[in-house]
Amino acid sequence: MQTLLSVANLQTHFETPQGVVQAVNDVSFQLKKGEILGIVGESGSGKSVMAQSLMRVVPESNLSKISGEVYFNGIDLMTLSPKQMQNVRGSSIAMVTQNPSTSLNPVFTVQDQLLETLKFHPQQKFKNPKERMLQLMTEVQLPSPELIAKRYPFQLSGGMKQRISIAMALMCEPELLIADEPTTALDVTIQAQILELIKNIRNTHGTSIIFITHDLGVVAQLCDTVGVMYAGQLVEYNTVEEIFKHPRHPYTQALLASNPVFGKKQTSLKAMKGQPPQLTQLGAGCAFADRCEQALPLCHHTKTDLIRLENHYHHRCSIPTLSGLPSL
Amino acid sequence: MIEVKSLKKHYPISGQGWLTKNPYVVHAVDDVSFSIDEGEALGMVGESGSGKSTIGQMLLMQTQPTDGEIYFDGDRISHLPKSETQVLLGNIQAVFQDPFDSLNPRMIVRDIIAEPLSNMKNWSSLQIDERVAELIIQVGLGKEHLNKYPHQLSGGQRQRIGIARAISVNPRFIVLDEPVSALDVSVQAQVVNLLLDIQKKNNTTFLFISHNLAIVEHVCSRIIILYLGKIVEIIETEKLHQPQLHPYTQALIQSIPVPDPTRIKSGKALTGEIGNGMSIAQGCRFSPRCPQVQAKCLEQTPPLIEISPKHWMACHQYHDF
Repeated sequence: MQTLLSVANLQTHFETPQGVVQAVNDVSFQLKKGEILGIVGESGSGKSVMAQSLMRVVPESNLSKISGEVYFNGIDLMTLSPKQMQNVRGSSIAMVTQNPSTSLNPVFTVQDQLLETLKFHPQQKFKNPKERMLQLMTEVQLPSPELIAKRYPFQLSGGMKQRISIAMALMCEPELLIADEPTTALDVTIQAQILELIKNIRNTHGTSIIFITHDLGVVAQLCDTVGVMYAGQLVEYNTVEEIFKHPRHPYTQALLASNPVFGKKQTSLKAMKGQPPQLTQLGAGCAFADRCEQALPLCHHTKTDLIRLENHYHHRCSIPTLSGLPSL
Repeated sequence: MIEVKSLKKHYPISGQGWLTKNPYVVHAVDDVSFSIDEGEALGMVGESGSGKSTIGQMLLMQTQPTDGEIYFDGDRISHLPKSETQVLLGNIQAVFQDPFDSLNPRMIVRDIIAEPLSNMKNWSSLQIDERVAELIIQVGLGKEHLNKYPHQLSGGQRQRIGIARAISVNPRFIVLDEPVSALDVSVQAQVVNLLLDIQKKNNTTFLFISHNLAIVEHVCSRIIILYLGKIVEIIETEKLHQPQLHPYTQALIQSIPVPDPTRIKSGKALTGEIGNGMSIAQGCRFSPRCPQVQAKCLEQTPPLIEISPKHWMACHQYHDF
């Protein structure tokens, strides 16, 4: 399969009065056409800022510094002018956000908002925009699309609003869809419906998808590859089978152990001690060292090793090198 | 210890104009009866709009039921004047979902934890200080946290403060409304373990409200499943894996994404969405979404019947056996 997106050493730092927030730190991955990459991490691990940096929607000012390479179809997005980037956004790369109640404009009808996408991207020639809209609304399984198109967001349920957001993202037939926690605000039965829908979109359109979530179950059910983020770094990046069968990084292992699984009777959950570090106070050592059960004294001071595996997969941990063990 | 009898909560909504005579009514909770034994952890599961939080609020005497009664140790606690509910709050406490909204941002941790103590018990300030110091250690924090404001703490730490406040007066019953939903997985496990410790140590009775079946299964011994304000099933947790379940419970279980890529579930479990409690269909409330719906389900509301010991179900299919 052809590579659609190739990210190398992506870094996003924010200057604040409390110090530099290292929100995204040296993130590299590759995404093939039609692949679903899951990005898992806790709040503050930098997964949303990473996605926003790819689309260059992080406010550009003296206080934010984005660096690295983001090759999309062979073009480095970081070198494009704001105007050129505007054309990529929405037409080639589209985004679905977590909360459809705040991402839709409350004073416009569904139809206004869906058709607006095409107005901003006139290079996308659809003979009949309205027909395109209704066709997509049917595809995302909204009942009676003509009726719903005339409604305002507040007249719709959370699940319906998220379907509208997805239809909106698909309007210009993007090659890459970034979905930032699209099912977190939904009930579990509706979540199952939306996940099924996202799978169908990949299968029928061949869209590549970056799916950001904190739910390990969703990742296992939906994704082909997984990136685990911790304190701004991609600590482990591998295929979904490897991540769940042979988690290599101690954080991935601890995350899997602390997640309660339905139908698996556990007497006590194996909780991780402590909490994620402040992103302004990252030292030279491994960011996870303070919570890591396997940490060696040197982990707190030395930079973590990047251990490369085949196919650009990798994980970041010094323990195998420090202890002289093979990295699985 | 807790006995709830045909509890109802209806919220009237005024119609289009102010002259509208028959306002719409939201049936938030409709004819719900159950009991909780001393020392039990009872789970309450349902989607948004199923009425689970409303039931919690009525047990906490924050909302008066439209109809029905709640008994605590055989004494009726529903429809009491406010002066009398104050006394009962020494025995009934709450932990809420959002640790960001449920702590007063202008109070330091010490005062937050001490507030129920100074309200409920005639303790000297020295006794209160001792108790607060003991509590902060019990929930896994240190004395250095006592002089901090909530905004200086992380979500997990705040939820621990909420728990310390709830257990400060040694309540016999705690309503926990989605206590870990706002927390990250790694912190969630810490708080769940803390709650289980407290429950075991003090033999406290829990009503654990959640939408997450995996956590409820882990914490509770018995589960109530709600759909649009009605109980569809009451079941012991260990029986959740047997085949004889209410179609809605089956669908809920089917919808949980399993963290195992070798067990991919295909197909969605349920079509449609939960209604709004305002325009309720005749018959079974789940019938518009039920994959096993029959003609009878559209006409008659199925009664909640004990189909085997300690297993109650409201479904026509099983009643016909």
